[in-house]
Amino acid sequence: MSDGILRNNMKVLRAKADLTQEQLAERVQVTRATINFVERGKWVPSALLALKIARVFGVPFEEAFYLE
Amino acid sequence: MNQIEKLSRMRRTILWTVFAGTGVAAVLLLFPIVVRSARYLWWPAGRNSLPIYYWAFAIWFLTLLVFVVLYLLYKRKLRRDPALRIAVDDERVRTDWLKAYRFAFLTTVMIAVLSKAAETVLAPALMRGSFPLPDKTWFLLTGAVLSLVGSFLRYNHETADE
Repeated sequence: MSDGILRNNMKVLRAKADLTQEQLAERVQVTRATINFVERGKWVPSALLALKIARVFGVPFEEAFYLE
Repeated sequence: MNQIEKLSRMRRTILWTVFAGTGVAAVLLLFPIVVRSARYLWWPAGRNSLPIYYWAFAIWFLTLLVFVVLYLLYKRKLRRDPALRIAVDDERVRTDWLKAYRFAFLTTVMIAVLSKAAETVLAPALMRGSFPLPDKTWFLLTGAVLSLVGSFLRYNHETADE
């Protein structure tokens, strides 16, 4: 398996769901700054947080996060 | 602004207060050492005056007092809602604290080594004036607090909503 960078489609999914970073943060119980960091790829979330985020958008994990 | 953001902001305010208070104390501690002419500064000048660095301790004590009061208020708000506590102290914040502790540890070790070296080289010159220098422990404590709080605030900096 090759090393990769975890990317995400959070910004698109968030826009589709009409959610602000603050609202998403409240739903997954983290701070807004953490959502901002994850969205920009500056912070790799734990599996638990990534699954929670995918669940909020109602999409499979692979649709929210992918390896590049 | 939701409750998570309010409490995150409150934590930052508390940490900035500690950082600013300790910063002022550090300047007052270092001032007579860096500026040789200020070595005999006593304030207020007079028969019952105190060495200027005593004011550093007073400021530090005041900072500690403010910190304790604000921290208790912060903790009380968190205790009411366990879910809120988890959210405010999320995985990234915990990692930022760990990184800050690592940085503070290395800084403290560096200050200890440098102060030992300075003691060996500069002590005879500093002691000649019989100026009562503050204990080395104070420099170590100031360095540890400043580096811990400062690096946490740096790692945990907020970014604008996009």
